[in-house]
Amino acid sequence: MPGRVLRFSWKFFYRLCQVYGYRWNRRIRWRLRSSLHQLGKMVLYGGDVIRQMVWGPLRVSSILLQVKLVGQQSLALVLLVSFVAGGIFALQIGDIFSIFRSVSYVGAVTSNALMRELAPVLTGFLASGRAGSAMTAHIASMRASEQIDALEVMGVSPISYLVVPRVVGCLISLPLLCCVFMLVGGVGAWMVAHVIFHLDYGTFMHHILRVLHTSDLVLMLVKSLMFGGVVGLISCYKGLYSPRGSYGVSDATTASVVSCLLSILVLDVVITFMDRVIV
Amino acid sequence: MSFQGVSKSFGVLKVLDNLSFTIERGEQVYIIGRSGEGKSVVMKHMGGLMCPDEGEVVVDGERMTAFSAEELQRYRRSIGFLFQHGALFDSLTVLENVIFPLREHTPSTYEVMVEKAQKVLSSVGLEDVLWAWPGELSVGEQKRVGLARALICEPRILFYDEPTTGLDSQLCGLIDELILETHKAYAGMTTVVVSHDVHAALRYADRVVMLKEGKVHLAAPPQQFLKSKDPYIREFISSACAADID
Repeated sequence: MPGRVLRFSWKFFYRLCQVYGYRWNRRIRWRLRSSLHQLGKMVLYGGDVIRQMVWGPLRVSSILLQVKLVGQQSLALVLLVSFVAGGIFALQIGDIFSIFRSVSYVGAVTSNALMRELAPVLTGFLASGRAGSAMTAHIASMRASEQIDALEVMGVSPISYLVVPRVVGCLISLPLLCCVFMLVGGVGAWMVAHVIFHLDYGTFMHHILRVLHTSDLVLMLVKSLMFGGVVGLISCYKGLYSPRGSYGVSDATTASVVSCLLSILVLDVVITFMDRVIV
Repeated sequence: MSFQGVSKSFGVLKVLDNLSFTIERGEQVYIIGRSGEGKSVVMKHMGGLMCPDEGEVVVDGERMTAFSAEELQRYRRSIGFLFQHGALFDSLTVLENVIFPLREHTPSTYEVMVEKAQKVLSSVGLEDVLWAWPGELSVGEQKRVGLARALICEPRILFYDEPTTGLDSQLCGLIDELILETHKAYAGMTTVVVSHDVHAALRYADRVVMLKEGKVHLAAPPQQFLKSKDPYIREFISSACAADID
């Protein structure tokens, strides 16, 4: 009897492995194939965007409009978040530093964190959530209502007409927004340091100027430029290749924001490590 | 223009199956068939928006799949396309929509473009909507603006994708008349209409191409179409008549 149970259990287990093994094998192969297809499509898209940026028609008014839109849409958020982020960061750091009687370094640490990490990353997040999602939704709804097909059939490249001005707009706006974030965040940090830790302006600024270098500013600008490119490229890609219909618009918008956030984080890690290796 | 053994599948669904037919220069051809027979897919192949899985679409003796990017752009600039819902750019006014192809492809001055736009808009029966936004227009007006945009560059071939879908019978008649008048006004222009409206097809077409299961069921002048004893065609015509009576 135990032998029969054992034999039956073994056969059942073997069959289960066969079925699920086959299913998993098929699923993995399908995933791999669709990922490679996506990757190929993205590479071709990126190449086309660069080609149109370099050799395509220069649409100055569209680019300026996008710079204005991205800046306008994200500025209020950037002002609010930067002020709060600078102030909170200074408060947390100040509490710890006061244990070691080194509150005077609050400005130095906060400004360093703001310039090297917080300003570019948070500006990228805010721009992707506000302006990037708006770009995706607009382009995806154009796809759904056949406006992209209309462009193509009129012999106008959607990459040149829709994508390039948005990507260039992001490339210009993000560094500017990042500088605003840095300045307002610094003001927030200074107000907390002054009101709560009674730090005078001279000491606050003296330590900031001691720790901040031109390389930090360059790093901030490089990061914000890269994040701007990522936000523009991904937002437009998700809109351009969205499935048709209203679900397509919402799916594309969600996917665009998630992809932008993840890409910014990955890119941030890569740039930070490269900076450490180079500098 | 000719389709030579064109097949197209979407996943496991084969929409076009070895489809072959020819459209002569200057003809007015209606492509009809039931929903899901691949009429719009045929239209998208003609506009270069889709590539066939098998077979060839040949334009002026040249295979469309062999077109370079520049040749495809040049071909697209020589055609006009009226989409099912007009496909007007909602961020542009009617005037900006109509002059869009001119602004992209010709060095014309703004005054010349506006003059042309006014002329072409009046030819489709719209004059006072230059500064309106597409969202402010009725569906019929949007289609007419779409037609004006398609006509402004004086295309060699004009495609209509279901031009009367979603319109009342009066407006359908108006749009059908407009298609015929436009075809007559632009000498030598080829007109291809994808439609499910069998009456318009039989009344206005030089030739009717009927699709069934991704293949050409019959490609013939309307008279021959009406005389056909084929049960599928008889049923198609009688069901259209029944729908009208209802």
